[in-house]
Amino acid sequence: MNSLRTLKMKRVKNFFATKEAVKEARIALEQKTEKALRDSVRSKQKARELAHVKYLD
Amino acid sequence: MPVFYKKDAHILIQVESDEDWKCFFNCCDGYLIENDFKRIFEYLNNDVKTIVLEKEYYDADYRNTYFNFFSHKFAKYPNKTLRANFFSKKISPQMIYKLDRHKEDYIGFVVIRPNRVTSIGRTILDPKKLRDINGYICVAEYPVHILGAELIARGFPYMSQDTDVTICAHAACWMLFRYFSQRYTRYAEVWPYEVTQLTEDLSSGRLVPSKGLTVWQITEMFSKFGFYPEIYFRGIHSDFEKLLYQYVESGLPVVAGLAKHAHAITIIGHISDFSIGQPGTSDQYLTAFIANDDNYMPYHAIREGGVKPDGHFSDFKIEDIDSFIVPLYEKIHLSAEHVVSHSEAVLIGDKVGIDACSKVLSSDQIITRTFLTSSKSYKQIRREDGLPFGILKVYLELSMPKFIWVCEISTPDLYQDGKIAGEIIFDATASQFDRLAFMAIHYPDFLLLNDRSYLTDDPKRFTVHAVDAEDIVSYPCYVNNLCEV
Repeated sequence: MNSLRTLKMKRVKNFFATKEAVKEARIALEQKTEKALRDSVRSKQKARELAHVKYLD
Repeated sequence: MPVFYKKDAHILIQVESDEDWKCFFNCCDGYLIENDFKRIFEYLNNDVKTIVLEKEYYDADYRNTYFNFFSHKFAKYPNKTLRANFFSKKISPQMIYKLDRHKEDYIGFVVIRPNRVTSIGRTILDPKKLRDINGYICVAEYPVHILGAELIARGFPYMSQDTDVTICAHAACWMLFRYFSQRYTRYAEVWPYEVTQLTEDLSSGRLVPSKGLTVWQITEMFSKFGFYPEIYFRGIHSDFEKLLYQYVESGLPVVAGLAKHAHAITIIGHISDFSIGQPGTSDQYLTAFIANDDNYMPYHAIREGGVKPDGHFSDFKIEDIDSFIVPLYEKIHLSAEHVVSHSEAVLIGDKVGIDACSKVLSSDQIITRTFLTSSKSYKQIRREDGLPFGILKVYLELSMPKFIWVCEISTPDLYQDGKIAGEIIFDATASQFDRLAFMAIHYPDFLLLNDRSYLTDDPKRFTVHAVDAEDIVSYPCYVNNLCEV
């Protein structure tokens, strides 16, 4: 990207040095979001069931 | 006499007193029922100085219900309507052919249907020209032609149910559909009778005369219109109000259900009090949602219980809203609840979190605002605002999907001034299970770009830059989704 050459910030090399470091960061994110995503899937199922019942006039 | 051209098709009425308003009522020849007249009078009395009443107005929405339904009745129903145009200045009768000279004074219009039961049809009123309305509202522009003069009505569409063909849920859907069909060419205009036919679920009885709709049927209507809707229920979805706020803040009006009252409304904006000044998420500043509810005139505030009433407010409370349906676009795969959990995880992350990467900002002092926008609008608005250290050009050059989720990062002090210190940009087409869904993480002294074309955990997917900053360089928050009133 051309714009990175004009960026007034210094490039940080080896922020993620290896594939393992990226994997570690990704797994940490997965753990932090695991419960929320599980709840989200459950909520979708319940919402689908309830959508037939709720009546709006 | 304030009434001019009384026997003609275009009547001009200068309104300065209650008596003048009665003249307006009389000019409507029974089309306008008394109850609706009172609603219009109480709502517009302080703002309107002139009314131009168009008789024999061909309203596409009314005629759609007339030819498909009212013409089948034994009693006589006219096939035309009246249209009342409201101006904020006194206009002399000689100016009736030159109304384009009063563009700035044009508040909008109300179509009056000869429905016998409820008479307020298609209505567009400019919230900026109504003194008791404030907040942030979805607004579109609708061209209006009166005696050859083109005027613009700005606002969110409104109509009351006619109780025969359309009930409140249809009216709520029509308002939302009419907003989208006007604002985005992708969506075709749909008229009220056609709205009623958008569901094929006949399990709870005939479609017209309608007795009500289920949330399921409304969702089906959304899908047939061309949306990819999501349904949310209070008690099932955690952070229900936060999610509702985030969609509204994204410029997406929603149809909300109030099952306790068996009622449906359209939520089109919000009112926020930025003086609260606490870290957390921007929905904490919310004091009311703004709704178009066919029980009231447009732009009524739905407050939290216990909040002091101000301006036009509804008897319904935020707590009464127990479901809502969001009209998502095809390419928005990531829902609000996923972005909430993803952004929270990033911000507190050990490696890419704010405490790990920024020396000038810590996670306990931030306020975040999360919204959806098109990348096209985001780049366009950001060009005008500017971002520090040349990050603007990076964003302009960055390849983005059609829609992006943005989690803006600010501090309570900066946020009160409409300023931010950074943002996380998410790919709205990402899977909810893809935890590397972010495209850019920007803290005041840190920038990480994530190349979404990489399939693996290859470190080359990330480009990281940092700067030794002593203080936060702030810039304006993104304002484009809603119109400030």
